[in-house]
Amino acid sequence: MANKAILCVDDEPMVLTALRDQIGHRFGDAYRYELAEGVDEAWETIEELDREGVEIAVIISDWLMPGIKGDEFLLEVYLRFPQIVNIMLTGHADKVAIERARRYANLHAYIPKPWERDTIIAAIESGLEKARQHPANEAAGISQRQNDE
Amino acid sequence: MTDRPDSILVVDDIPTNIRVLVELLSQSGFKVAVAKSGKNALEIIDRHPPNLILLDIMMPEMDGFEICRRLKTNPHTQDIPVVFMSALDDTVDKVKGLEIGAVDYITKPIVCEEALARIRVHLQLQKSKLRLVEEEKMAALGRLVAGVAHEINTPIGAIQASISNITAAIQESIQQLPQVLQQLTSEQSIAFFQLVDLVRQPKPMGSWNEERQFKRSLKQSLAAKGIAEAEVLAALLSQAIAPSDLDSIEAAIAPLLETPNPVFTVKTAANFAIVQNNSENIQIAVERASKIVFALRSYARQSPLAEMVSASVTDGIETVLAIYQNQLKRGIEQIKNYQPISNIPCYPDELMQVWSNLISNAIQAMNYRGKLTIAVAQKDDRIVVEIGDTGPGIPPEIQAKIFEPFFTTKPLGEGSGLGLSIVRQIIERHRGQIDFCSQPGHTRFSVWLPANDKGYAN
Repeated sequence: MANKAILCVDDEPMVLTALRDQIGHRFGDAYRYELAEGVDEAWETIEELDREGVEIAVIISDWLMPGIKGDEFLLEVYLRFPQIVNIMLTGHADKVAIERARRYANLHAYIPKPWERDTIIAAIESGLEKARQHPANEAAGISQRQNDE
Repeated sequence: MTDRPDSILVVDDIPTNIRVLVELLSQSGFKVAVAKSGKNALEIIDRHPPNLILLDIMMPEMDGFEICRRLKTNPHTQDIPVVFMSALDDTVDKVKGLEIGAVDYITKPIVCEEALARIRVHLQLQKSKLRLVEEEKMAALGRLVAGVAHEINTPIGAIQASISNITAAIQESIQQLPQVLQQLTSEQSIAFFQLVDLVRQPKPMGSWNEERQFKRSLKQSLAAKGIAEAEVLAALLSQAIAPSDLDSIEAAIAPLLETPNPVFTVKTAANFAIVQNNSENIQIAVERASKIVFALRSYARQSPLAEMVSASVTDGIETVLAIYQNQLKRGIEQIKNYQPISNIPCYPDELMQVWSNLISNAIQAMNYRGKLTIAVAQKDDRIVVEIGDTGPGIPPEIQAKIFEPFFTTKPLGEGSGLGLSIVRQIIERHRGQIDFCSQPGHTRFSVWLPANDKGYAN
């Protein structure tokens, strides 16, 4: 069963549902799709999935959200879960923030809204491909398989 | 500006003076009008506001001071520069004239070169002033544009994604429906279409936690009944149906679990939820985008000389808040205390510029983090609007200067320093008042406006 998840973080429910259907249509049962309306909710979800032993493969996050900006959130995510693929999907982000996320949060892709379906799918696929070669993930993959057995 | 000649109104009751001035001004390329009394002058100014007024002081019935006073208290005419004409040695009159709002004086008998030079200077100053006011308006608009891009791109993104989802779902349905229906018994067909009806019910968006719990209990419940693929089914159903009674959902899908491929069957029905949910998404997104566009249009429409109209102050504030939404949501808590108030006679666009300035200053003062308090109330025959922030406060040494034109605390290029001076002008045009109290952690601007048009009677 799917023990990998893709997490979408945006303060607009309309973006979250549209994104989930879009990604779900491409990746089907291979992943769980989790939605969070803000950074606090995102962390709750991350902790919960972590407890259940579900590995988060990709996080797609907005930049401009109440409380904390996407680049700060992705930086924290990177510090704790360096193997997660980070994608920023946003209507507006300043160049400095994107650069900061690229440099310090290992941002895989920045996609401006409105976005094309193919663009976001391609970014997820290339991110997953890159993650597969990540040493931390190879190790995690092995231990995960052992857990499954 | 236009190439049309500037128009000057000469107000004087002595024919010789009029003749000298008309000749001088016409020869210098100005368009000249003449009024021989105060009453006559006010009528002409009302119909064809000139670029500048040359005003004699000593006139029967209504003297120059009275005319000037009336012009300065009328929002339509208060910005027209007035130059008094006074006798050479009359210092008292000159000072009095300047005090009640004239920009300058020329002495009689007229010295042609000097009079022309002064008139040209004041016409030029007036144009520069108008240009600065316009630039300030554009700068304010520019600050909004970045935020508006985000506000508009989000619903457009949602619409675009929703359309791709609907297209994909319909395409799948066309392929899958015949296969699914072929495999179903008549009893299963009935259950299938009941499920289609169920997933097409509107589903509230936004309670993801609840949805996750729903998915989990559904999965556990299905797994406990020994149903394979419990998780996939739970995922499909929890996305398609609003959290509800597990038993009734299980009863609804029970006949479909007997089909050759239950997941495929349920998925085909759940595709209709995708069409439904994404259509609703588009509806919400369109409403959001329209709201922003409406807010911008109300903001950009400026007609300074129009009649006052009856409008809601609260609506104006809400429109401005809609425009600033993206700056507010970064880290600002909004506390609104709107008492019901009646519409007031006003220039709604200009008032929106006031709210926009005060709110934008508050946000910047707090550096995007803190509490923004907005209160609207009616006190006797006045409306009072209070806009408070929790920023560091206005330093006492600059408090006296903040309404002065060109005073700014912002870096070069970010503000002309005209924002609050224009705010005060607008409020004065409404016969209102503005003041503030400020200490570290608490700054509040209060705006009082007349609640009815008694204050506007001429």
